[in-house]
Amino acid sequence: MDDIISLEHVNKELNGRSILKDVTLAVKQGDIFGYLGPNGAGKTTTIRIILGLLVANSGKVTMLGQDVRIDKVRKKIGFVLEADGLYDNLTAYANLIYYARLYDIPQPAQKVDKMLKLVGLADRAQDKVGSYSKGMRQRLALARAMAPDPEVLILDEPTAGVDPTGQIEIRQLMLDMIHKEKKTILLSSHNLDEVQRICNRIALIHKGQIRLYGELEQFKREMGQGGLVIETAEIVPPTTLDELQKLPDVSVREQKDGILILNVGKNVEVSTIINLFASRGVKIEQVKKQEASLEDMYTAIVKESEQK
Amino acid sequence: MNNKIFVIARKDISEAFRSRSTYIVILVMILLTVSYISGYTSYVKGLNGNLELIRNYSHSFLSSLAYMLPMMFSIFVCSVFANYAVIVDKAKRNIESLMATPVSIKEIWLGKSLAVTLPSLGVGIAVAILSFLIMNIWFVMPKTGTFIFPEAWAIVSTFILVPILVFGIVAIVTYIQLIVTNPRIGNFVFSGIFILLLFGINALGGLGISVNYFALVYLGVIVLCVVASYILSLSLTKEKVLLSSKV
Repeated sequence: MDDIISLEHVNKELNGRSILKDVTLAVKQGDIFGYLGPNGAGKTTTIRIILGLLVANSGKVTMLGQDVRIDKVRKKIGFVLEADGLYDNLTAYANLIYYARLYDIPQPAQKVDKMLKLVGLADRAQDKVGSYSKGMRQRLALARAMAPDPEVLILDEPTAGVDPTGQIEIRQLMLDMIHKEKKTILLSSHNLDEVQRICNRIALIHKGQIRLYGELEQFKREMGQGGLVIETAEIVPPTTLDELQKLPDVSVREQKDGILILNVGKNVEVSTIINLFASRGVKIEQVKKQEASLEDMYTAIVKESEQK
Repeated sequence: MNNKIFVIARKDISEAFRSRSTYIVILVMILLTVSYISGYTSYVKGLNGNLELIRNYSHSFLSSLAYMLPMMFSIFVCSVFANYAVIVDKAKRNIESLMATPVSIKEIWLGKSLAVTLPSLGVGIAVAILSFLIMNIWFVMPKTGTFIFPEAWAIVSTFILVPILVFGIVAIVTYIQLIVTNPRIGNFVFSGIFILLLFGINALGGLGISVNYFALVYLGVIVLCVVASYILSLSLTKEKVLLSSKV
């Protein structure tokens, strides 16, 4: 069994509004799966369906080959949701012990101690969670997610609202889990940079529909080299720009003062462009390659579906 | 019985006992008892020392106390414990994380109902017994010379019927709190039952109905609660709870 989480043609309506439309995706064993989309796109609804909190109107949702509506399936899932689910009046230790007992973890006290050390909160274990910063709370929520030694971790915006230092700590923790614990992770996030750094596969959802789904590297390759930033001594004459645009897979993205940004396809040789400039007497001061980023893809897809 | 139900109940109870409002409500209960006692003493004064009348009145007064106080006080404290078990959990969306664990919605419902019932009964029955003893020893015995024991049915009612009945009522109120957008509505239900009990005894007394019938009334309501809880349990889903929470 390769698919850890599988959604097949899932539809969900809430209050007469269609939230998910024919969503099909699979998170495979060992995936660090980035689930992207703007606010209200349907990310949280998808996660809630996977966690058995909502029931799909149609379609099939399975976790480790079993129907997600079976409560015991969630013994193998760790999660961090938007609302962290921690109790302010209880200590960090009491919070973790509570959840450990709900998961029937053997020797819960030992496990909780280990988890608190893992997330660097052992010295604050007896403090009430109400006194914790957002970053500390998220670390504690990660410890709770890891405590049952789950096969899959579902993380819904784990760095949202956390200051930059906290974000780095949480990201590092996630990377540790990926490399040391070899967990399968479904990460829902707004943070494209985070997804680009961590994930190997992604899905982009917009207005309840999956717009992009597959290997991140493959998308990058398909997008080509991205951009080419050319700094020139003077403004490039319009005739040269026209000639540039006539080259296959080359288009002008932006020109401002002495900086020209071109969209270039993966088969375009940079030397062809440099030679063209030289032959027209345009002096180049610097040429930089710009990688195709997830942000470019995201923006393009969201813009495209907005126009539909 | 399922361990997870008790795990949920234990956490909610320990959280409630960390709150000052729990102790304030216990204090209010004690003040209520004082008002009961003052009602007794002022009535006895009006009997002009007639021992026979005082004995009869004391007997019926204490019997009604034995039937009413455990139920009344338990219901009174329920709203405090329900606050932690359901209201705060829904407002802070902690219930969402709880439902995402391998716990069924029925276990959550029962756990939360127990979290309200057990401490409410503990506090309610303890204060009721204490009030009964204080009344007997400090107020009734000096006037009648005898300690008035509660009837056997009152004891059965206190230790068997009242706990089952309180659990039944709490289960229904907890169900309502779980699926409505404003779970504070449950507090009105508890307050309504409390007021009904407070005035019910006087009304029954006025109609000449003996307090002994209370045991029968309790039994009848228990049956109704069991039937209602079973029917309600069929339609409780995590989706209903989630969508009624602050999302």
